[in-house]
Amino acid sequence: MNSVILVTVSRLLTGLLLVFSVFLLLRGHNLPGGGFAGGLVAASAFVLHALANGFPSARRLLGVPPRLLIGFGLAVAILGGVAGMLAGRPFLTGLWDKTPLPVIGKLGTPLLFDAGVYFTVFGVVCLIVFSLGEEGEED
Amino acid sequence: MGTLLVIILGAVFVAAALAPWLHRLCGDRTGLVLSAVPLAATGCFAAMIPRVMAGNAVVFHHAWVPSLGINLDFCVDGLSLLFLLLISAIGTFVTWYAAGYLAGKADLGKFYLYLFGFMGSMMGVVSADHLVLLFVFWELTSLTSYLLIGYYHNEPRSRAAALQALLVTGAGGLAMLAGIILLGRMAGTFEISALLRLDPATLVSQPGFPAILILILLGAFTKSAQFPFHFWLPNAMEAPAPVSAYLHSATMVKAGVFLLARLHPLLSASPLWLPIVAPVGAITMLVGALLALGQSDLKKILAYTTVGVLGTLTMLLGLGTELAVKAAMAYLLAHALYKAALFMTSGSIDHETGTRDPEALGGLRRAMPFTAAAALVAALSMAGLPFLLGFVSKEYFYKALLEAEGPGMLWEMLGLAASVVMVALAATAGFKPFWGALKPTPKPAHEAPWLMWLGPLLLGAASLKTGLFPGMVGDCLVGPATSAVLGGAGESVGLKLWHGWTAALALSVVTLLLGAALYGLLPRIRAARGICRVLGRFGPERGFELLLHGLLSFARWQTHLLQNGHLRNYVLTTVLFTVLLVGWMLPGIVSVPAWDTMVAPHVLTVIVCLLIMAGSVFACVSQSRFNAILAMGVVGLGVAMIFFMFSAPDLAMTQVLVETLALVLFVLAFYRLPSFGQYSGRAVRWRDAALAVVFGAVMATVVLVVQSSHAPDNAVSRFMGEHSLESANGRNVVNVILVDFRALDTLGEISVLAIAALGVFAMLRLRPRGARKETKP
Amino acid sequence: MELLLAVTIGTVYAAAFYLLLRRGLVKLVLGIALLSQAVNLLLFAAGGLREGAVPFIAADETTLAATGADPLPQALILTAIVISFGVLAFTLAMVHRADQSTGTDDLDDLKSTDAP
Repeated sequence: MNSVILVTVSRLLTGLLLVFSVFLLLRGHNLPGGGFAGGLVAASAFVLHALANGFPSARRLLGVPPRLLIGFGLAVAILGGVAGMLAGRPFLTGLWDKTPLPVIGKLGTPLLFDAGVYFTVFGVVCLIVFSLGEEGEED
Repeated sequence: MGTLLVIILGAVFVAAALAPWLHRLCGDRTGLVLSAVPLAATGCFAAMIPRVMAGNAVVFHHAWVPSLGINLDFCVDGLSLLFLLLISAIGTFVTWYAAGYLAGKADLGKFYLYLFGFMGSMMGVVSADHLVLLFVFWELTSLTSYLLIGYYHNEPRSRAAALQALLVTGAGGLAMLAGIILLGRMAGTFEISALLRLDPATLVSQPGFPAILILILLGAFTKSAQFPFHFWLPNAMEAPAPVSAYLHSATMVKAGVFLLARLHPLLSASPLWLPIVAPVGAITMLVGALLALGQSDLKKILAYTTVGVLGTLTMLLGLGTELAVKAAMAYLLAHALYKAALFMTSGSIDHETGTRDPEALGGLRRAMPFTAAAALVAALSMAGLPFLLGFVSKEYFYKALLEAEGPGMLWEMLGLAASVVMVALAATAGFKPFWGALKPTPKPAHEAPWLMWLGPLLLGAASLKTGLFPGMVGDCLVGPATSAVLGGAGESVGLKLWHGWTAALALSVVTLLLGAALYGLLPRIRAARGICRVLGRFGPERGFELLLHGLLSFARWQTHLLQNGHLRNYVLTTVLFTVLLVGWMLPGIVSVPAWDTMVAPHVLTVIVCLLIMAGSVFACVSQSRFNAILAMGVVGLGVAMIFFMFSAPDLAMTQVLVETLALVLFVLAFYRLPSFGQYSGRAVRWRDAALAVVFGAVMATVVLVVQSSHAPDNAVSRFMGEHSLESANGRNVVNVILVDFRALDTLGEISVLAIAALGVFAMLRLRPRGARKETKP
Repeated sequence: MELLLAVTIGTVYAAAFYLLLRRGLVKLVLGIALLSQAVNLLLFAAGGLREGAVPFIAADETTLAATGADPLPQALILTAIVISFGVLAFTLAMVHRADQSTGTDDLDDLKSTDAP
């Protein structure tokens, strides 16, 4: 799959897709998007890079093992739930800061939770695609 | 003091949990370090004696599951205290003994984990004041006993014995649980002390009470190895000697007796108590004594005599007079002291000489002086010689039998017969291996390490001290225990060594003489050992094996019938039943909407639907993997279009992303997937196609019905629509549901995703070394 | 429109069922994937189909309009879509491993846990 066009396009698109995925995550509370879609787009960025430049390159670009991303995501999601408990409310109760920000809207623990979903989905897809793609490659 | 009790219990369990770690730190000295816990516990329990003697129980109360009325209630009265002292004191000796007996074993830490786990559970059983709590600890003793019997887990015999013990006591425990629940519901309380304060006559006259009695008795009888459930106990001798000494003579097997004693004031009010409990005990006493005669292994001999003694205790509790209960408590104490010592000394003999056959042993007293002394004292107590506790308890035993009502001299004769056998076997176990001419043994005999004889010697000293001055132990332990069993009715009168020239004394003398004579005849009796083997073959154990075998064959048969390994049969069964049930229900409850009420579809919708249908059908008939995968992509994108057209932009976006990634997955896996073989014949394919059409038609009808019967104003959705912005600050209601209203579901779903990904990773990347090279043959 | 959608969903169900009954492992995987599409569509149809009524609260409103599409089934389906991707990946990996270590993709050869 060493097509010059693919390599060039991927160089441009990987970054764009990543930015777009964060955008999707942040605006998801009010408009289409959210953690699931954002995570899928972020993973697609690396899948595209892997298809163009090979899996080792994609792993290097990612920097951390996908497994860690999954663990990080789950931890962030749980943290978003525990935050409510620390305030004396039931697990996963949302806490909000009342001043709205542009694009994101108001800040609150559900956004933290959504970020957890984002990282989990991101890690899951990367782990699956990398595992399947690298299968049988080194021998 | 109630808090102290709970602290002790906690300390024992903490010691258990720390044992493996401690073993890594201290090696063989672990036992010595750990024994500080039961030693301290013994001291604490001893400090409770004055208070309990004064008639004040030590209590602790803490609500555990208040909604179910289950509490952490503990109550220590005379009966509990007697058991607690036995458990902690003998537990200390056994811990020392195990440190010598199992020295150098790599998994000693695990052993202490189980042993202390058992110790804590047993303390829980005897001090719990709540039936459910008692049951929990009761089952814990069964579990730890299973692990301890199976300690030599490389031996198939050990594993079989452990499983047998677990199944028999576990089945009994289940019966007991049913009995406990029925009893608690009938009485309106699960608290034992409250139960015993109720008027037993009103409870006993209720119609369900006989069932409760029998269920609870089943639990007690299996645990205490009463006939016909006795067979697991001798088999449990596969366990290491310290376990046999602790669990299978001194403590756990007495849990059944404890339960009978604990609930005695209530249960013995039933007219069924005497005709069931006393005969079962008597039969067990005789069976244990007779089968013990035929054994040629010190441990087995001791095990069968233990069965006999458990029968004796049960019989005495079944008789239930004040004298009988007092005799039972004294006998229980005496037996625990001498039998634990004898198990340890016979274990030492095995450990140092390599054999446990009494015929092959003799003259060990010079090589093993301390062990010999301990064994001798214990055997004398077992035989019931004066100045030892065994004598005192036997006096009370005979007095109770003489007093009991029964046909003729039946009880006396049964008791005499069993006691005579005990005398002969006491000599076999504690006298024969050490005296007479020295016989060559597999290993040259030498004294065991001090850890292994100190405990038995101290136990012997206790037998001697309590035998010489029975008054004190009578006041402190046996009296309060008796009074607790009798529900406070009995006066806590002490024990006496000398009762004057009575019929009981005469029976004791006759017992000793006949026992000595039987000891002389033993070699000849052993020659007829075949009888035992025949009994074993047709005994209850055979029944147990047949039952187990039958159950396993039945399970295999029905598994083969229902789970034959053909996935498509499962799918076919499930789907056909669905079709039949739904097809049968549908016409009755709904009507298909009329043609003219339907909205005409948009052209684009028609095109998308046609694409989806074409893609699905093409995926079925295609001969090429690649084309089939492309068809799947078409279906997926078509579905995304449907989502998009009908107001679900989030779904459409996610679907497109997932379909893209799925296509990537298929392409990556493409060359590694097996080919697209056609395995079924033409007839099968047509049959399946016909079934598929029927199924599709049913599902299409279902879709029509759900669409027309959809309630537009769904309360849950309306709530979410109304509160999304107000309480969750989000305008995208779908996303608000995902991350706020139903965030717990989402958390579950991302966890599932994580597990699936790790599964893929584990299957593809983590493989045993060398396995990755394998290729298709 | 209701009839058209019903027939479409029925066809997807039928195709999925047909593929599940095949003996080849790859067809089984395709069947599972098709089945999840069919189920998602069924759920979607059960929620009621609305055109041009996205389940978002309009900028000048504080509650979701009563004519808007039902958000609940959409949330259910959204997670189902992602989960079915996980399931697909898992089955693909499993099929690959099974094929690699047994050398067959005929389910009839794979009906016991013992190696053939």
